[in-house]
Amino acid sequence: LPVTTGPGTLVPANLYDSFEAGKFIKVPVLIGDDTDEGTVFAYNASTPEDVSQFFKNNYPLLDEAELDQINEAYPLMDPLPNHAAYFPSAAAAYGEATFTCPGNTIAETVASFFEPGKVWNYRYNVIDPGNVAAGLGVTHTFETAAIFGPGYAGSVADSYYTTNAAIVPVVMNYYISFMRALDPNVYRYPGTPVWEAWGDFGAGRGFRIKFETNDTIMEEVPQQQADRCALWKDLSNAMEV
Amino acid sequence: VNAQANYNGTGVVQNSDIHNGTEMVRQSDYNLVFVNFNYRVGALGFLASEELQEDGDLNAGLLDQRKLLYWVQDNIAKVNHLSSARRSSSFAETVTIVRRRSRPRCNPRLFRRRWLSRTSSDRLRWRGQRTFRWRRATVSLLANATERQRAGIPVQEIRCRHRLFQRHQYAFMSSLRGSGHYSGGWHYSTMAGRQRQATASLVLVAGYHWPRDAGSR
Repeated sequence: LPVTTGPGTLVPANLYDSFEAGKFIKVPVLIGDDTDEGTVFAYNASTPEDVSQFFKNNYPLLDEAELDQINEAYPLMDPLPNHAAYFPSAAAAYGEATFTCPGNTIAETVASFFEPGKVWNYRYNVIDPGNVAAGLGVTHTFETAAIFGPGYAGSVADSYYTTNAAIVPVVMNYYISFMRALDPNVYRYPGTPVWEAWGDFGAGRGFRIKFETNDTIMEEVPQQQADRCALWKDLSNAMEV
Repeated sequence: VNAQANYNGTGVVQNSDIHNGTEMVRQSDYNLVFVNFNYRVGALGFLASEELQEDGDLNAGLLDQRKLLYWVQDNIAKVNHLSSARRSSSFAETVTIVRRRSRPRCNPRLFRRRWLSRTSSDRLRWRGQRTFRWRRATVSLLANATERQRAGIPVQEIRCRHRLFQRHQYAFMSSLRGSGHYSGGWHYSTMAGRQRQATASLVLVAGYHWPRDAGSR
């Protein structure tokens, strides 16, 4: 959404370039994403050509070679209910391009220019039967109901009152702790793991917490995802982001 | 090709004005002040046109956000009789909340005066050439008694809020819908601490509008 409007303005340069240059406000950060960020946005692609067209429509400056690179990074995946063959690829590409990789980049640059121990990243992987049946996986902003509590953030999946009820105090109290102490661990919910900060791995790798009902644990950003994120970083100027 | 990109504050799919911090504040044992807001967007993201670029800004939503953060820095302490606001920040999906450990009071006079002095002026000059106009500031209570009850706000507090805002109630939605340029709004709600077993809760809603005709000014 931010539009690069040139030197001397609010958004003086593309965001990737600004973050990579350390030109941002240095404060503690809590940032994360959902496993399937792209599913509510992506075109229901049937072919790699559809995937290319989808990205070309969103980012007109991408050329054929770059679109091919995207398709190579996101080959045919396991099918999802109610969707065409290349929808999972289109969704994964869009989700990582738009949310996950920018989030990881923010985490990494905050770690490197500010403090590796003051940025915390998460992957929200709370499984909702309805979303799974719809072929959407763990959708964008699905954690909102756990942050605010079910019923306090608009419509909510039924599972937050039943099979996923246990995740709510876990997520909410990490957030509360971050707000109160600028550290998610100080006031975290009893019995939950220490949320390790992103750290100083570099090269797009870092620690993140994986939120899952009754199975919230630390994990590392997989190398494959870091590689795909490197591609999006390479394409960021063509995409004007 | 469907490419939905309709950000509204903290939510893409839902407007931030449905984000209610009551339960979070309660779970924090009333150690938080919750500030919620929204910013302007169009159906395809930030409103963009050559006219806007000439006499406005292509990142109006982010300017809204920054204005909110300044406002919080300047005023949040007064809401709660506290010394100074701490750091607030907002990154992508990060929920931005200003921390406050406090013995809050409902201080209608101070808060109201400050608020209106900032918003009743017809124009704000802001960052050089950018001229923004307040068509109208609206201040509203929570919509109705049912909602107050749902939010668990004690009666004593409702009275306090009522004194605070009764002279400035406007029909929130109608005023927003009345503007062809409106897309989004600011929604401040602060909730804080125990005060003789009462929960201080202030909800301010400000309608913030583009000039209807930028060219004629």
